Amino acid sequence: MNTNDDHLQATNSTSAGIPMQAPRQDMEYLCADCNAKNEIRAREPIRCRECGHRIMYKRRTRRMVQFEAR
Amino acid sequence: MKDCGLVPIMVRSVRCNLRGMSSSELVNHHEEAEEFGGYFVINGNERLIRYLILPRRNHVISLLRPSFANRGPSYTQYAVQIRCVRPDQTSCTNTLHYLANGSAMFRFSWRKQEYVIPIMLILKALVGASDKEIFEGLMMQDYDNTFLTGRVELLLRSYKRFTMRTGEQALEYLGEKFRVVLGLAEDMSNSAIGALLIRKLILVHIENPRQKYHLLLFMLRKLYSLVNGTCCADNPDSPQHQEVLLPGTLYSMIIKERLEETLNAIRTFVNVDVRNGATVDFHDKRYLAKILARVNFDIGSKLSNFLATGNLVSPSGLDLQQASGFTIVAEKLNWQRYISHFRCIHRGAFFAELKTTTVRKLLPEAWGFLCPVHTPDGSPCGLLNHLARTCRLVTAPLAVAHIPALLVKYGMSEPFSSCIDGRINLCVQLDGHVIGWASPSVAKQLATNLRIWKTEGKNEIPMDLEIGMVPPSMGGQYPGLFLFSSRARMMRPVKYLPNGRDDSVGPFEQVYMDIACTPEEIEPGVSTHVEHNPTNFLSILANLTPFSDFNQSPRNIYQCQMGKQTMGTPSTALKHRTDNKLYRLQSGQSPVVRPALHNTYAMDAFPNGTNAIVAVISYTGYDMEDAMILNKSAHERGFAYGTVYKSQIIDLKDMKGASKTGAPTLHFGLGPEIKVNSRAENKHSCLDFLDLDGLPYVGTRLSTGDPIAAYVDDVTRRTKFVKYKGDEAAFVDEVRLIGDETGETELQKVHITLRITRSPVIGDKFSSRHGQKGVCSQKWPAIDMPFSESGMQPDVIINPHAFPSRMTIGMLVESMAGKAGAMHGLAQDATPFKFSEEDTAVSYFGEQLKAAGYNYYGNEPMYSGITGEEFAADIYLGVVYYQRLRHMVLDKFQVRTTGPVDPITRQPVKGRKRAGGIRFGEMERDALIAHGTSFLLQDRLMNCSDYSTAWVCRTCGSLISLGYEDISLGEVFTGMSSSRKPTGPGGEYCRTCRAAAEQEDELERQALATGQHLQRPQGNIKVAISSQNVLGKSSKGGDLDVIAVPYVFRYLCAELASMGIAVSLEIQ
Amino acid sequence: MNVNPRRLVGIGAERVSHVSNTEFPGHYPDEDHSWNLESFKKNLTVRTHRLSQRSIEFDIIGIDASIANAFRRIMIAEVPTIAIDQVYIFDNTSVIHDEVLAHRIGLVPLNVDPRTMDGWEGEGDTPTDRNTLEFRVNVQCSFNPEYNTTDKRGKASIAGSANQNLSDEKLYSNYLFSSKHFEWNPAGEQLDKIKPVVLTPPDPLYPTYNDLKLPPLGALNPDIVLAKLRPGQAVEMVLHARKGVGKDHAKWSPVATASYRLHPNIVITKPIRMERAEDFKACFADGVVVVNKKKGTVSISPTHMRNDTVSREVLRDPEFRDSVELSRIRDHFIFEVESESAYRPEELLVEAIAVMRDKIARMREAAVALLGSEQTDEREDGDVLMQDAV
Repeated sequence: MNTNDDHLQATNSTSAGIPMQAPRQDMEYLCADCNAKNEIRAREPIRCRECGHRIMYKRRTRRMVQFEAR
Repeated sequence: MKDCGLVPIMVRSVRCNLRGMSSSELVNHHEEAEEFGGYFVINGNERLIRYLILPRRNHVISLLRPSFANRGPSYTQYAVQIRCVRPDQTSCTNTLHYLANGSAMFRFSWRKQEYVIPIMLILKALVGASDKEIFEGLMMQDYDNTFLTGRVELLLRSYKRFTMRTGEQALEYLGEKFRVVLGLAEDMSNSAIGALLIRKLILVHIENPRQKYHLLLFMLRKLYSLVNGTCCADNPDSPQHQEVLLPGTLYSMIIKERLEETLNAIRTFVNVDVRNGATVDFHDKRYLAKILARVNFDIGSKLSNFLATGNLVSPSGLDLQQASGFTIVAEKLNWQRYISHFRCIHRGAFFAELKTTTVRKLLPEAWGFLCPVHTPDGSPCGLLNHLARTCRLVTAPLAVAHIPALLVKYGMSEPFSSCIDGRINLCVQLDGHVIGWASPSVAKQLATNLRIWKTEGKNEIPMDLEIGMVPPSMGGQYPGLFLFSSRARMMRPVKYLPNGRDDSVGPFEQVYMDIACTPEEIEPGVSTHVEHNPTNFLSILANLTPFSDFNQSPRNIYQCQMGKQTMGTPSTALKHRTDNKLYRLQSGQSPVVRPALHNTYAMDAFPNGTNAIVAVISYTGYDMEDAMILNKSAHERGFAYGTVYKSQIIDLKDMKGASKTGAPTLHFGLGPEIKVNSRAENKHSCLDFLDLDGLPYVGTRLSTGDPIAAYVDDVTRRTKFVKYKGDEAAFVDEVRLIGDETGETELQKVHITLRITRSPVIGDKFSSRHGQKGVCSQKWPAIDMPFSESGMQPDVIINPHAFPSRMTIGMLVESMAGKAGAMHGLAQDATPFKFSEEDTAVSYFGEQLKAAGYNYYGNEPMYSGITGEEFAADIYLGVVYYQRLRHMVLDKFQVRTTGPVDPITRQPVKGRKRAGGIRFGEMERDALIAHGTSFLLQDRLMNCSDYSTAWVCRTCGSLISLGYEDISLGEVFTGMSSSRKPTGPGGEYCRTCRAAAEQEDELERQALATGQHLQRPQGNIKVAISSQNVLGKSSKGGDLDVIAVPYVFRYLCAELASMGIAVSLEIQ
Repeated sequence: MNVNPRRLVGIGAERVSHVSNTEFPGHYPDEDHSWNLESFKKNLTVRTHRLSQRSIEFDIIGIDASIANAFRRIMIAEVPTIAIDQVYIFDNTSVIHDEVLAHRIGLVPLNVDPRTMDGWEGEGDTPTDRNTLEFRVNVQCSFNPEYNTTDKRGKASIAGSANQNLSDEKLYSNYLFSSKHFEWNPAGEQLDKIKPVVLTPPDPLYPTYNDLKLPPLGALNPDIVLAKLRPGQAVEMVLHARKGVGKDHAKWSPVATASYRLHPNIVITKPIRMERAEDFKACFADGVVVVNKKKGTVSISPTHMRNDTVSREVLRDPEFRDSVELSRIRDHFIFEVESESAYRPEELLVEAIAVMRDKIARMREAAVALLGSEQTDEREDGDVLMQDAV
């Protein structure tokens, strides 16, 4: 049953054999070295397109956080 | 070509990417603007090799150790020792032991093994000296000295049994004896091995055998002089005879040894091949490649391992006394702690275990080199010191080759001249080479000349040359003129009085100098030098204590400790740091009262505290016993507000279900079962915290158990969550995605910085800069705080009882100075030793206060905030710089009502992390017994601990023989009542008693059947038992009772039973 | 000026004596000190001594320390003001952390008259146009194109080495997030009802507002720096301001300080030598001692006596020590109040009295309820049932 399931999954996966679910969205990250914006999809390698640095910062997204001004 | 791996590079060293960068360049590289390097980055930790104290190199010291006498028959407590250093900075210690028969044994160690050789053998082997030559060399025309003649004669006589006359014979003898130990090539001749032994292990700082011979003779003379009592033993714990193990030296020694080890490994493989008859052809590249492939060349990883652990893996031990603890982490808790790591100097791990305290003593010789104030209290006290502010370590070799010739020109006799009178001549040595002889007056003149030349830059005498002129004395230090030009020495600048030039002095020469602390102290004709600054003998941190000269000395020691535990400003590149834990004070200020060096060291870039208005008053009782009251309004306005940064690394490779090889099977992200776009009410709860990439939103508030990351498992195709485990609310400060080293694979590792807010709360620790620490005990509203004439309210209230016993007058002066400085807009200079009995600090700051309209002594009338009336006493009110220490209740509180228990004893577990209890120990028990509170005792030790109920058999008193008969099924007792075995109401019975009763029944039945009377064993002892304790036969193991016992007692009974000991309880 | 010695608090070099009032019934034999409205009215004086834009100095004479202290305490902790209490952060990429920035914003005094708003009732209350003001903040820092260049990839940098040392103000736009960035978002009838407080005459401290006829509703001082920004950093948030009192949090305290001191009383008991008159003068605050060189007299100016800081410097001098008597008048309170809120400084005492009257009224209500319940519930033992007392 389980193997069958895997097989089904494999039919719509890439040639590399990684079971894919469609990457949901590009995420934008900032290079820790040159501060360039990098759009990296899920399961893509982490590497800056500008300088090749391999550490990225996650950007702050517009979400509300509530604070008491005390 | 063979790759030896990657050697860790010291930050900002010549090989570092950051070398020579300016502050702005460093900032552009996301580094600290003031980055000075000096450490290694290993596994993300900043580690540095710490300074260790070693015996001074190339100088003969005399030792007097009773333990030497235990080395063997006829050994005595006398010895002389020299730590010889080769040009490559590796060292070898040689010791010359005095034997009771007048001769001496030469000791050295090779691969951690010690060897002794008679000194005559070496003297002969070195230059093939004749007996006459040796006699003359040792006597130096002092023929009347019968002590010396006697010893030398015995020495020469003792050599007769070797029956070797020439140096060559001696060499061959040595070579033969050491051939196996040294493990050299088999085709070397014995004499070559002997020569090698002498070259590699005996007085290795000297190349020339003739010079080695001269130094050996000097050592012997010094040894005899020690035995004779004409000179005293040197103190190896004194900085006079010490130098420092430099990190670079140690690092290169390790590299050298690793290389040697690698080469030896190659040789071993070749040797094995030769022995096995395999073809060994060095012209065959394939053979070489094969051999090289079998040898581990990775020196880089060995060095990384050394830096990461501080453990020295070495066959020779590198002539060091310890094998671990060489490296430490440079903690960036605050700037003070960080910089003091780079100035700390350790005596050695060996001395930490010594029972005696002599090594920990503060010696006058340490003045100006090691700080007397900056040492921790507790176990490392006196062993872990810090370099004084101006103390410098010589790291470059000096050009001194021309000095011997120069000195000869000015009256020194050459070393090889044969007829020197040892009675009137002193030995002149340069870095452990005998370079000549001179009479005391000439030697003194030479020393003075050298000093003038070096201070004035004449004759190319280097500034860092140490000129140790030890004058002849009655039983003092062995005289001579000792010059040192080597590296790793401590030096410090002072002013040379005769020409007013800057001089650099070392700990060896300083002992024979008269250095005045201030220009006023100069005594004409006596003082030779004067300090540039009277505070130069203090370390950087000790210098930062304001008015430290007013304080009782232990308080300054405490401040050096507390300054390093302060929640301050660890770094200005916080965003780019990934430390496990960082503390930060959000509202740091520059102190109003600061020593001049505060500016010199730019401490304002890293503020460490807050200027607080401090009232010294006993108010409401909440300031008893070193507690302090905070003003709630000050707190609400951000007083001492702090933040803790914690790191959490999520590495999918370490998770359950990760594939160790090949493509990763775990991926950050949300699985398909989590509907991202669904309506608010159906939304998965993790979406409040996690973004689509499975990582937390920056800025999100997390509480315990909230998801911090999500990942999908390819195999199960489920989303798993990593939870936030801390028990305080935290904010996600930064999320770093860490790619792998090749940049090829997808995201597997994330580093999350969490930010925990730490507003000061009751129980947090604060301290002034004078060793006056206290715990916040209450936050009073501003309206309840006392207020002064001008409407000022204190931020902090401390109790006046904090002062009389501790005598921290510096704090009182700081308070006045701070108040005056705040009123006049001055940064007050708090450098110690600026005031005197004539010009007092009180009058200086009193005048400033007077000018501002305040009371001259810093007192103020104050009004109670509660009653509104004036206090009957004036209150000492001023501005004191307060530090918030990192010890906070939120990290330490431990409470529990119920919680986890130990499975064996059912007692509460210990440990704060596991929500355990605090042990109510024997002494606490004693206190309650003494107090007579038995119910409380019962409550603590029984009811709140391992209370349990147990069945105990009334017959046998056993706790552990309970059995149950299942009567719950509603068995119908059809048979006779006797067939029903007796049990308690719940079917419980005692297994041992029932078995015994059954056995007895059986025996009786048999006896009845056979008609015999049962023969009971008759004992001689008869015990009177009261009738109520005698059970009727009917019980037969059914008479049980429930009692309350500590569970651990039951466990004890079971354990004892396993050893065959029965515990019997008597129930009343 | 001769003051009844009973009214004096003695001052020694290091201690204070006779701190408490002794004029209460039964303390002095044959004297009646029971409270009497007529004599209280006769003795009570309130005098304004100095009034400025932001501070006031006034005297209250003839009351007990407990009353004066009550006014002080109420002015600090119980006169309500408006301050920002809730901060909804949408974006904050500045170097100041969210909670620290929120805290800083909370401490900014607003120019909203608290009397025009309702109080916040606590946990369960809902924000309405009567009790909450909404402000919006949206600040984005960017490079000033005049001094900066943008390369092909859209990365901006400072143009030329000459511009490297220019001030931040020139290089960047919006390099400061300050209190002027609060934008009021009026809701309901707020636009009609709530008006900013105008300081008249214009305050030289706040130059930004002086050109405007009516400053915008927001911070009292528009130039309070809350965070520094650099290009790419932005702050976006919504702020909710509410009415509160200083005892809840210091940000609601209307005063920078409100305190009082007792009026000093200096009496020269022995003549001062003319040679040392200047030294004597220097022992006190300016103007307290008047030296008349012609007449050769040294006297204390009754009008300037209040300026003395009670430094007790005069008691340090062995010569002067015995020729002067220092004391203070126990019922003469010199109040100094600095307003740091929408209240004009002279309004603060009035507001404090109003708060106090309110408290007294509530007390009275409770007392009356207590009394009423006692009368209706005619129990023999005269005890009051607790549930009846309000």
